[in-house]
Amino acid sequence: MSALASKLHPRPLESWRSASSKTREQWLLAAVLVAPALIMMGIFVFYPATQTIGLSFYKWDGISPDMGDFVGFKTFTRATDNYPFSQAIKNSLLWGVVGLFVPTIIGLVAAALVEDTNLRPKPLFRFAFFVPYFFSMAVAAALFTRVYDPSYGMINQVIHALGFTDVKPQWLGDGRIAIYAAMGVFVWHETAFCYIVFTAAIQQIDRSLYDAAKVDGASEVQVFRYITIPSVRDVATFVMTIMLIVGLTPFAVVFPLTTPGLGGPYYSTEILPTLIFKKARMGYNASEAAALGVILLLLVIGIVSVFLWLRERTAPKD
Amino acid sequence: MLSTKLMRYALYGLVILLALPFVFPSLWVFMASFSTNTQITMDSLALPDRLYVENYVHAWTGAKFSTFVYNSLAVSGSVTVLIGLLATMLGYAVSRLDFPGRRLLLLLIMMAIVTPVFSYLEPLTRVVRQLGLSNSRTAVILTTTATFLPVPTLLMRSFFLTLPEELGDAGRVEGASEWGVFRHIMVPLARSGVLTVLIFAFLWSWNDLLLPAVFLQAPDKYTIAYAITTLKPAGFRQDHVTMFAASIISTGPMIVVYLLLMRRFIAGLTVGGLRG
Repeated sequence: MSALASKLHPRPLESWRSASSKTREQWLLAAVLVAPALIMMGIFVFYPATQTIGLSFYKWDGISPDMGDFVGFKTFTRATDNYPFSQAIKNSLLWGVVGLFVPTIIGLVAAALVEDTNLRPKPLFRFAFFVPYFFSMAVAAALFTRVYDPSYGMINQVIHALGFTDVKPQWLGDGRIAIYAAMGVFVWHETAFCYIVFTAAIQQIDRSLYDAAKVDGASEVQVFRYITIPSVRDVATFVMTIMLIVGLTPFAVVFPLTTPGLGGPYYSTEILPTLIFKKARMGYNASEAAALGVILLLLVIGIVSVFLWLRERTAPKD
Repeated sequence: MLSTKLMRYALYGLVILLALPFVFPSLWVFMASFSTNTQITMDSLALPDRLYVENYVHAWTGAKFSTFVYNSLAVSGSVTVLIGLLATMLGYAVSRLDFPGRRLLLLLIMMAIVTPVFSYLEPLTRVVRQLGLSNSRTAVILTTTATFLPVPTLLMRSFFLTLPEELGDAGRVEGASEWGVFRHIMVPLARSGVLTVLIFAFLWSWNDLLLPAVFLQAPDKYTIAYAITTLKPAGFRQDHVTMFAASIISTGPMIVVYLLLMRRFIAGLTVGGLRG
């Protein structure tokens, strides 16, 4: 019946007059349903997003009433030709790779270990792996300023209790390890998300597949490799895409961990969002903030597209 | 026989070892929230001599976390209602209605998802300033709704796409208007999708840091997540226990969702994600 209906009302743009009453009614309803959302997104997303591109080609401080002079790509050169920027790019790329693989793999392995074995009691273990997600990312990062504290912090206290009384890493104060400490918070928090999504996906796998594999004498590792992994492939793509996007913009980790001295010590935890935040809100450098915004946008879209393209290309054909 | 038993022990050992880094910091925070600042600075791994429940009382009243919770409830509540309405409306339009520009609209929504707020942060603050909304909860509500809207919209779209078109046509034959089909046939059937979107929107705005940090300057307007990040170890006298207690308070909504709705929430989330 719907096939017939679509034949009777072909999709191309008919003029209002020749449109059937159903089509006309649908246009009207669409206008009513779309307008409020479109107006809101227009004001707070699309308008500023297009502004950012224009702004990045001008020299403007963000305060003066007029936009200043058109300077072409000079703003980009000024915004990128410095140490903080190269640090931010390096950290962002590394963080993207970590986000793509670390929380996802730990989450998948943990979910399989709990769901595909006779581990008991399952609810307790599920709770254990999900616990970090009770805190928001920002709150988790704020808490880790205490967990990482060199003297009373949990980690160094544990190290001390284990007998290593001389080892007292300055987790957040040492520029060589601060970025890894920050990524540690990210992994700690996001693994819980990956875990819970993979748990839901594994629970939906047809149990008879496992029984058949067992009859055939497959080992646990083979079951994981040939049943679990292929079955959660689509969910994995979804989770990895989210982790990639979050991993490229982990502001909620770096902001609580490193203020005062956002992005410090000495730019070692700098990421593009912290640079943009500083220039947009503290530094009154609107044009450079906009130029960095354009770069971040291209970076995120580029990397996510490449990732999704690779996933598409390596998809099993069935 | 022995080997299977050994395997079992090995499995438990492995899983417990894997879970430890996730559980232990949370446990430490929970324990420390009932301790004292002196105890924490001396030996933070030791159990407190009694439960200092007054930490929570102090966080709630003295450190004004009742205000922050109120602010968060106001912001998240408004965002949840707005997103529930807008995502349902927009999601229905782009999945079930035929109108010129539908593909373009869908493309715009997709583009908005991959565009980080940071990339237009400066112009956005200028828009908010021009609207006279600087330093207001309204600014946070509107910007959170607009920037987050694309994701729940696609979720709702996936839900509407799972409903058979015949239901709408049957309604039309019965004489229902297009509005009637939307309001009285499709929306009631997409209830579980709407529920997922409401939970998602509430948790998202409850946990968000960036937009409150950008748009709220007066401390009495801070949301709870932002307020906690401002309690950093900066001063001479560090008040750890208040921050720990406040962090535990902030987990409230997530715990409610975990206990009551987690399964439905995740199921809804993956349906949307897969079809994205």
